Amino acid sequence: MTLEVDKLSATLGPVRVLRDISLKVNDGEIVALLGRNGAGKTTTLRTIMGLVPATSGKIFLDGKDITKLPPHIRARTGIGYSPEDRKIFLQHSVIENIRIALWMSGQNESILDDVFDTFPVLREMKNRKGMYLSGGQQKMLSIARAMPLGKRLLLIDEPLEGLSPIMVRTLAERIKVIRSKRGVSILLAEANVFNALQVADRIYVIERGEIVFEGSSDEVRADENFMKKLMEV
Amino acid sequence: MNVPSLPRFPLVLGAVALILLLAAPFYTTSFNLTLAMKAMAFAGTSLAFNLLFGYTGLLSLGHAMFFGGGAYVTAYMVKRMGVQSLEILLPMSGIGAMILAALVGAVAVRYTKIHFLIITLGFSQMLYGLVLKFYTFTGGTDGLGPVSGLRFFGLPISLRDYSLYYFAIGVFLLITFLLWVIVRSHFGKALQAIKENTTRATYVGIPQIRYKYYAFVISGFFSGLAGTIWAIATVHVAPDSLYWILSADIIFITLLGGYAWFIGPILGSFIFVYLQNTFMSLTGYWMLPLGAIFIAILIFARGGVAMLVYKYILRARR
Amino acid sequence: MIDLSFATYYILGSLFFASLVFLISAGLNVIFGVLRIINLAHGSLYLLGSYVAYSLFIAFSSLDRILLSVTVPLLAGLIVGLVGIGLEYFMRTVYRLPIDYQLLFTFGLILIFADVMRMIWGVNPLTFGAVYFAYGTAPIGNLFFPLYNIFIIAVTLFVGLFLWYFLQRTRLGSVVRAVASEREMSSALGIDIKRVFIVTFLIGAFLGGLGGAVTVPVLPASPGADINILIIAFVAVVVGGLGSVKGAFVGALLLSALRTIILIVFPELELFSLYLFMVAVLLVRPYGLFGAKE
Repeated sequence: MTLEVDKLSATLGPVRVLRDISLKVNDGEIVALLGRNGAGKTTTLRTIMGLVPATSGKIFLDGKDITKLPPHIRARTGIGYSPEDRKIFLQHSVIENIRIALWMSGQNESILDDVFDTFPVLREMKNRKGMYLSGGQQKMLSIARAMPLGKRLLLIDEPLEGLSPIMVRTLAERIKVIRSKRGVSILLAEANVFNALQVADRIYVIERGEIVFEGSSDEVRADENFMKKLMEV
Repeated sequence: MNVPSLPRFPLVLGAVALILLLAAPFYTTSFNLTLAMKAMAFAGTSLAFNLLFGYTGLLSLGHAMFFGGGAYVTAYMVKRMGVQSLEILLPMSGIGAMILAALVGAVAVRYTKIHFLIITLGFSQMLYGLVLKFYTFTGGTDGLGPVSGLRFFGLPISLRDYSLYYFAIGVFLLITFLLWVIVRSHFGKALQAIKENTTRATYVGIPQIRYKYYAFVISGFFSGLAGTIWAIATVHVAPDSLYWILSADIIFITLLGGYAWFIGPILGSFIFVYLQNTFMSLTGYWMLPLGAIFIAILIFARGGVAMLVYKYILRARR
Repeated sequence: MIDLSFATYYILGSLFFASLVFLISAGLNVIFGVLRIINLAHGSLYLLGSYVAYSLFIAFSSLDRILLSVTVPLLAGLIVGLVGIGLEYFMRTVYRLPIDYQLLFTFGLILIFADVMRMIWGVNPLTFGAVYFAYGTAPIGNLFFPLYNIFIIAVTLFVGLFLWYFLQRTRLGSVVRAVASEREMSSALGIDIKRVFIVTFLIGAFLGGLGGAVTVPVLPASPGADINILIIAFVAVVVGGLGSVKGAFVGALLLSALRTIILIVFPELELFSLYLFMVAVLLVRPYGLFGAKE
């Protein structure tokens, strides 16, 4: 099992945003964390990354307790993170953005080919500064940049949000390619159930900081009433 | 900022402090009276400064321009125009500083945080530069003085019969009272709303820029009044009173006393003057110990002395 | 022809002043760019550099002056850089606090530095003119321009190029810029922020110390110099835009050009005009010529 989150809680200021969240991501699995805005998806990913301190509970990566490690050490142990608002280094070129992650992961340049094969568009504009990319391109760069460090686990926050239907399909397929080619596990946050079902093997539903459902994508697809309820999300 | 709102300062303590201040001529030297007058001048301008910082959330690093500006108006009128009536000098100093604040504020209140600080610093240093260079009017580096032969509605005022000292107390109490009224008014509440949440303040219909501007001008006016205390206390007004170090002292005083409490700056002023004088006379070095104390406050006691007193009272009550 | 040599003389003088301003403001800006803290104690680091260099010059005064003029500033800059690392360690206590506190913290440092330097080096102006005279002068028309000032201009150009190369062309520079633009994301990409802060303070303090060290043969070190240089550097930084090294460069040039003109035309208004210029620039471009909105 790549990731195991055990009864994780976190607060933002005085507000308790996560309450005893437990979830698992198996080796090579794609798991979607489904919930509306403000449900706690982003905070869950940020807490796993170490950007928000956990007030209680534990996080295990490949069985190793990483709850107390600072973010940069977590990243180096093999977690790649792509935040919702992309956080591209705007003054760095595309390739410089990726290189920073590459240096920190301690791998050699050959992984760049891997990254650019996954996102050929980025290869064409590798010398363009981050600030001159479109929103969709920045999103791709953000995921591409997470790849070198994400040797074991990728955390991707709303990769498909705000993209055109064609882009959603392309990017969903790219995410599956990353999993099959590199054998990493992926945890993604998603607000849209259809988007989530396009990529995920399994789904957790989070509401007001608590996990309220867990099941395989097939189970979700089979249960029409449940689907309707999730669509209202 | 994460300092909880404090209860009102215990009136008993305030009364005791006032009595001590009023009775000072009976138990201390005139040197100490001058120090007390300096502390009251600092207290006046720091209270005015805190209307912007503690209540509105604007950190000014240029308050010396209003403080020193007021002091220069007094000194200039005494020295070059032969006006010696304090009932004219005091309001003129306030108005002079207020006009200056009206000009500077028109630009400054459009900015926040670091840029507000830089703009206010820039303007005050401009004034400092002007005062240094136009020595025919200002005396340049020598400053203006002596500020003497003063009268208040015809009565001669001097430190020898303590009338000067009591006049300073009067001005100090006037500034304190008026600012207290302003802080507790609707206007004062609106300023706090601006500080706490700028967007929400706009939402409930507070015209932010205009209110900040009013606060700025009011702050300038009271700093100018405090400047008069400074002029009569120091007798000789030097360009130091306009220099940015003095602006920084005002910030120091406010944090030392505690900006979250209305009377914090008053506490801070007396402690500051006492410490500065003590360290000066003991070692000749005052910046090192004061700097260390300042940093210690920033790290360990961000509520300032007011917060420490408050905690002490809480503990005593339990 | 006299006019031309006059012009050359004044342009060189202006460039000399611009060099001083740039050396100081670059360090201020590097630290602000990465840590988002305006280090008011930067002027103190400059003065410390001057004093340390003075002591080194005295200690090694038997050595060749030209050799000293190169080695002493580097050594002094390094010593001040190490002091900067110590400062960074103390600054950690205020990183999480609002920006006002960070600013005030550095103000507290000014006071402490000022007295400590007064204890060690006293209050009399200290200078080491021998180095300045060792360089001699160059005739320009019938005027003589000191060659040491040319040396300072050259040092500044070198420092500027070095900074550019470091930030744009090296790995560490790229990482430093990454932390400057997206601090949290950088840590999520495996960058150890604390170490980047240390490096940044080392560089910033080194630049400040170097600036102080190269100027001590021309401008005496004395109490108050810390504040004076800070304010001028501050103006340059604000004009150029906070956090931009390019801005510091352009700001220093503009400011010096203006100062040179004012000193010829209307010398009384030197200080006033510098601030007037700053306020004017801020009115037209609130975040400086190359600054970004916060």
